[in-house]
Amino acid sequence: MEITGIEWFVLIGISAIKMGTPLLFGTLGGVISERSGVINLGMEGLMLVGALTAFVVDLRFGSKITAVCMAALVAGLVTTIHAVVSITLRANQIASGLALTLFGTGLSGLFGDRLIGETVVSLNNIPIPGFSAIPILGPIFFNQDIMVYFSYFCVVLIWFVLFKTTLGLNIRSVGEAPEVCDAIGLSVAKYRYACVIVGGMLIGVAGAYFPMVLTSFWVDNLTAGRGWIAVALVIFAFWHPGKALLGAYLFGAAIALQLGLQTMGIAVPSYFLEMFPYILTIAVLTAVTIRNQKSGASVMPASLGLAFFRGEKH
Amino acid sequence: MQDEEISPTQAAIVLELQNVSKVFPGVIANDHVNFTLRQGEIHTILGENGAGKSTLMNVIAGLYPPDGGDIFIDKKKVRFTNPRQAILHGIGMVHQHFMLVRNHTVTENIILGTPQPPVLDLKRVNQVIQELGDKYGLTVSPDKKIQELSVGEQQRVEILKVLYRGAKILILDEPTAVLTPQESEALYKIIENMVAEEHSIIFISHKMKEVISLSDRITVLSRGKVLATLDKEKTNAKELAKIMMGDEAVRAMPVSASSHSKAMEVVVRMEKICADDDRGHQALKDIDLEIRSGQIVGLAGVSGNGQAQLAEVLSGIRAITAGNYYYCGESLQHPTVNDMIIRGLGYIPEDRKKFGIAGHLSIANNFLLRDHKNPDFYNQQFLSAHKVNEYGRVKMEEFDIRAASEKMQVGLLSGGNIQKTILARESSRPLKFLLASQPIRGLDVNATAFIQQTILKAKSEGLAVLLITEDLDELFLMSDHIYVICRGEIVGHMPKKEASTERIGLMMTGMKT
Repeated sequence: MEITGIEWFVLIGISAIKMGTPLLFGTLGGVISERSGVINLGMEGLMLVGALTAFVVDLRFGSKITAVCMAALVAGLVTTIHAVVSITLRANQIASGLALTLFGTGLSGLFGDRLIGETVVSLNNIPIPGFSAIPILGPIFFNQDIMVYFSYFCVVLIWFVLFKTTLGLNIRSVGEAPEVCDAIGLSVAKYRYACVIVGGMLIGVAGAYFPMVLTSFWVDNLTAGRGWIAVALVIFAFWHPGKALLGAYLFGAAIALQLGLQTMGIAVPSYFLEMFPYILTIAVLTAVTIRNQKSGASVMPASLGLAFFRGEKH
Repeated sequence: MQDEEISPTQAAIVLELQNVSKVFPGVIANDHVNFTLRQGEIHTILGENGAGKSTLMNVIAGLYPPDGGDIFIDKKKVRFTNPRQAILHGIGMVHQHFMLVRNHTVTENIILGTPQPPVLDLKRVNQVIQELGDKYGLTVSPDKKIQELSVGEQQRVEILKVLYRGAKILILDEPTAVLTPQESEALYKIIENMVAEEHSIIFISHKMKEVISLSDRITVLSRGKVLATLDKEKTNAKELAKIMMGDEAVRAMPVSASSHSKAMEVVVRMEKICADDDRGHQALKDIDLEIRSGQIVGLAGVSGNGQAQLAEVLSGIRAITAGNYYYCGESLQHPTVNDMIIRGLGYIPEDRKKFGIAGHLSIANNFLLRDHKNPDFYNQQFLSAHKVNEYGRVKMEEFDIRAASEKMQVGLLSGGNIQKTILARESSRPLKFLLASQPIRGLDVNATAFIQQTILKAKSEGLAVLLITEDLDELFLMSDHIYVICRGEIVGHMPKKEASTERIGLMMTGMKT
């Protein structure tokens, strides 16, 4: 069966969005958390926890919406550990996040073991009337499953909240200068808790996307390091939801291309193809960092990764 | 001690503290403080560093709850457990270290934490801020980011912040410590505008001149206690200094610049030196500079105009991109820090806490830095804690470093004692060139005098000294020759006798004269 170049492009495009969607949810979760000043390196583990929860709930109850909600809820609960450790106890956020990833990986492996071999039904694509008829872009962006549409909505919502509302101003300020917020009576801990947990819930949704759309079955370590790409994408996106979307789809395309080339039987060593998204990650981060230093405009939340101590004498 | 009688003709008391105490572990920061503020009054709190001024202000502003005593606002007793309650009672504090979000705009900073609709209406807020600014002469552009503003502008944002919150009582914590003379003058005007609008001001300072010219009343604080509250009309600088420091006042008078004995050989010569900053932008442009032995060269300028980079070039931290650097006649191409130390450079960095000391190490161990090869510290091949501590005790005595013991963490000391520690370490080697960047910034009268005397002594012993400062009083007191830097260029230089405050102040803003 021969396919034309345009058809191939559309197919890769559709696949890029699908591959990019969990990255997008994860990155958005990271953006929320890091805007408030807390790094979450537990993404990979949280995604696995979300993935397993969604798979189990879907298998047991057959309800897609319940599955996604439960994934968010459980991931949110697990993130609370990170919140307590890094905000209340003021431990090192890097160590706490890494521990969370190791914990989530182990937990999902433990409970997922007996689920290997089971399958769930994938989410259907729902074409949006009118939009899906647009040539090329229509089928890529507007003939997708409901979670993709939900991710579009999240991008707009998070952008709006962060940059156009009082709540967003408070969140960004807590991430930039907690001591300033404290001095004028904003509760640093409250905002950080909320952001870390909501961010964790989105990361859980990212995980849910794997069994519900991408694979429909469970294997150990289902997310295969995509959580780490999301960690890098937060930086790539300059902590901005719109750029998170661009970045997620760029990397989605890289993954889709890798899979596409493999199925076409093009003789590229499979190890190289598997490496490719991560090489891209390093290359992009290097470029972004250099550009960032040149321009001098640091967009990183100034207090990212730093615990807040009140009343430290200057 | 000698609280003045309050005559009935005077304005109403808006704030009163009765026996307010605040205790930190091991220190009584405020000891039964009594204080009153009248409507429309500028009441200065005068005291050395560590006298408890900032703590007292933080108690009033609700950051620290008091451990004892009562606070009354408009005769009503209040008890704040957080800053928001103080703000609601009309108390606003302009902190010494600005409390601003550097990455955010002026407007975002001003409205942060104030009641706003869920979806921000920046247009309306900008207008309110503009009007407020016009009313008090506080001009700032609402859309600019804080990091683009000068220090003086940032301070105006801080003041707008508290005015926007409806503060009637403003606490200004050493507001002029970081300002140029022109900026200070502008601030005095703003303060007068605020008083005219019936605001009451608590002003903290240890610059005697402005205290005398600005205040209605002055309260002297020492070691957490109120020593006196005086009317401006009934006192003078000398009396205040005497109350503040007791017998030490005599010692604190700065010595006059003595004449140098040794021959004036050129120690440092820079020819058309250029250098970039960390981001690769040019920070220094064709700098020509000459410092002779037995001479103090003062470098004036508003901070951020290349002084930091110049100091780094001189001390071997930063590479030059063009030009020639001669040191005692020797041309140095790419000197390392160690090269400069070997050649007798002593360096007092601007950010003394970050670059001058290892804050978590003891005082004694900080003397070890840079001199760690000194055999005096060793028993055979091994460092001897005993010898290091012994050396620390001797130096503490010699340099009047006030701390419980030489084993105390340096980072916990006051600014003056930290600076003395650095000076003690730097001058323990034979020096040819002393590079002192903002050596007295934020220090109290006693520490300032000690540091200045030490530098003058170094000069009289034949050292070449470069003094980088924003404080014009210090500049004129200390320097033999004055250079002015602006935007990375030397805009002019002259012997001290040809310089005037106005001329230097104008040159600091980039105007060549």
